[in-house]
Amino acid sequence: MTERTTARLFRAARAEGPSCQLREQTLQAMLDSARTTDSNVRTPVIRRPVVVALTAVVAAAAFVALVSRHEPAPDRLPLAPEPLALAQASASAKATPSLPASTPSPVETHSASAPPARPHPSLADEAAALERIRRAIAAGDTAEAFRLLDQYRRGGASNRMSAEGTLLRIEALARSGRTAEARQVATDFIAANPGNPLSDRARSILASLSGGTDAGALP
Amino acid sequence: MAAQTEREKAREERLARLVGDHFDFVWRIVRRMGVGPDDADDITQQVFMIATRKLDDISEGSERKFLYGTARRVTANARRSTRRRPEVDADVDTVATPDAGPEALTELSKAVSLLDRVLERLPPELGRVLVLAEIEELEVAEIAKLEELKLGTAASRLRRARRAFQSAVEALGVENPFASEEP
Repeated sequence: MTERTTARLFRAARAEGPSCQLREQTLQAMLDSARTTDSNVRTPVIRRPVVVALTAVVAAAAFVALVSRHEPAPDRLPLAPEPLALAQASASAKATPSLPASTPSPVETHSASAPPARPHPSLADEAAALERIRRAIAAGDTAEAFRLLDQYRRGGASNRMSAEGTLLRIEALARSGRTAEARQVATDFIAANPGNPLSDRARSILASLSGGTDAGALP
Repeated sequence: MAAQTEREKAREERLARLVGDHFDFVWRIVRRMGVGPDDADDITQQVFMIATRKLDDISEGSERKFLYGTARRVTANARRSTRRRPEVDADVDTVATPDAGPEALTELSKAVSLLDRVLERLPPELGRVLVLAEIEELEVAEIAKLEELKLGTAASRLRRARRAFQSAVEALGVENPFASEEP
């Protein structure tokens, strides 16, 4: 096998990845879990978020969901329905027989008094929007990042991750060479959010912008 | 519902960043540990739910290390408790790439399938560093950090891994993997 062929194999492995749906569903389950913890902080809880699974009957995209147990040693690997296979030639014709088609159910907690945490309707959308911005910045496409940031801003005051949005704006400004603006937004953010872990990120961006000459300007 | 505290908001943002920065990485790592795409989906979700639970214990900057270690552990447990899928299993051959068309997918499918056949012949600790270097394209220093090795150890392990990979390729007798293969 040539060097070039080996490189192709590794490149193919890089091209494989999880679906956006999986990513968003996972984030949603994580946020639900965190929110459940926050509201039950006095009760020791074994959290059991139930991520909902819908199995498409036809060969369209299948949404994977699982019951994820948090016991230390899971005794069984949660089963998944048929794979997200777009190449029908390679997909097996057989259905995976042992999988039930589960129906949606609310997130469960062990706290009897608290109602089940309801997923914020647009939180997953918001997370997805922020991720698109992140990718645009990573790809060096700051014009697109700014366009998406404005779109995100227009999403309004209900944005729950606006601090993250601000950080991304700082990064986009820094990347596109708008150094003075990046510095300003970062400084304001740090001043307004002293306890926020995101301020550390803002500080490190500031440090990378100033190149050590402006150390005295930091609050 | 009571207004969310600053701390809660910060945590949610951190979780979103965790997913944004590391989800695909974890999935790919798991996938190259001999796990098909469906199980990779499941395991990746488990890893991130564990991280959610333990978020306060993960210091800023060590997220990837935590996730990598957790992914290794969860995958090892899962493989011990389920019957390992044989290479010819159609599910393992399935490739998850939402953006590719059918022809490209078949090619990709063959490529990753072959890669996994080769990787399987390597001792796991060699396979892991090779994956981190060649697929994730990490620097040796970062590989050393994730695998908890001294820098020199990581470097020499990587050299051995590359040699072992070549030997495995020769042992499998693969000339051109992109010609049609026998079943």
